Amino acid sequence: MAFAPSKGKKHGAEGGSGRMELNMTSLIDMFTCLLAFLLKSFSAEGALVTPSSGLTLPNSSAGERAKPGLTIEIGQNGIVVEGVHMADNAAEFGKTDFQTLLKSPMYADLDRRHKAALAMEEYGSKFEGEVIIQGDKQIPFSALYKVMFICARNDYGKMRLIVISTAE
Amino acid sequence: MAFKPSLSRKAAEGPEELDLTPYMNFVMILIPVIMQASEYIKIAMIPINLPPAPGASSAGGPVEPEPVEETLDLAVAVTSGGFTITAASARLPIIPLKDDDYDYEKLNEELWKLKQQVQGKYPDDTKIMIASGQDIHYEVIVKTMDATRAHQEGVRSFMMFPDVSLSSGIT
Repeated sequence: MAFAPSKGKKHGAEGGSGRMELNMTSLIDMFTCLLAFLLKSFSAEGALVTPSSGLTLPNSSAGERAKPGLTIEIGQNGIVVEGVHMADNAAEFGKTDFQTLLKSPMYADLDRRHKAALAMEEYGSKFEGEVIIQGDKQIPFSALYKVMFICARNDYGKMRLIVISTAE
Repeated sequence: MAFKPSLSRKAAEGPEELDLTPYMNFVMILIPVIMQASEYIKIAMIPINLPPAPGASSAGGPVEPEPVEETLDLAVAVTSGGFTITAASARLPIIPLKDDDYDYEKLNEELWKLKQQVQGKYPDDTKIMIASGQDIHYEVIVKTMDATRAHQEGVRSFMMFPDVSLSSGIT
């Protein structure tokens, strides 16, 4: 013989309202932990320099905070200045002689940017000559040096190498 | 005559629960804001200089004799065979590759010994020039800069040669 379902258990004990309330305690615990973790990695200034997706930046113990500037990316597959493709192959670019570099599209582009920046000085915008170089860790030194040569020839003398910091 | 408080009403309501809705709203807004401003990969920069152009200071105008001051002229050459340190006309021992990799620890130790000897004796005792071979990888250059910048002893870090110039003197 089957037992009849308990009427008291279903309706009687909670006063007959039938409404359930969500238990928020565990959700709030989770949010509090998440908040503590995020505050730990919080930066009041935000990310001033965004690493390029196609590059593997080298690790370094340097801890100086990166500042924005004219961005040059040197990857295995080419050189990019402020998002504009300048050369196809970094290794080949590194083998280019200095006289040829003075006629390269990259030299012409930096020259144009330099002249434009100098023209803006009349309106109070000071030309600082700052350039940040994001290089793939596998590029040859010759490619980096040739890029630095072009920058220096166009008065972009304050060069910064962008790295992934391992400093505490 | 004062009324007696109702006993039945109190018993029916039970303990009051906190209204957590405003707190939840606040947290839900705060989390995306913090996530947007958080750094998961810490980006840093290494300031570098090009070596001074020879004769750059004497361009234009009469050349005045400057008092000759002895300088350290510290340089590290990175080649496919290892490191070579030169300073003030002296050449230190070559640091060869160790297990097919550059021996950054040894370089750091040698420079630390040199730093202790030359500290305060030369005006350019924080400067170093890194001259590299053309085919040396950029990662090696950055690690060499790390090895020349500071020396770690336990939890203390001592600054050595943080002003780096790059040169391609080696072909």
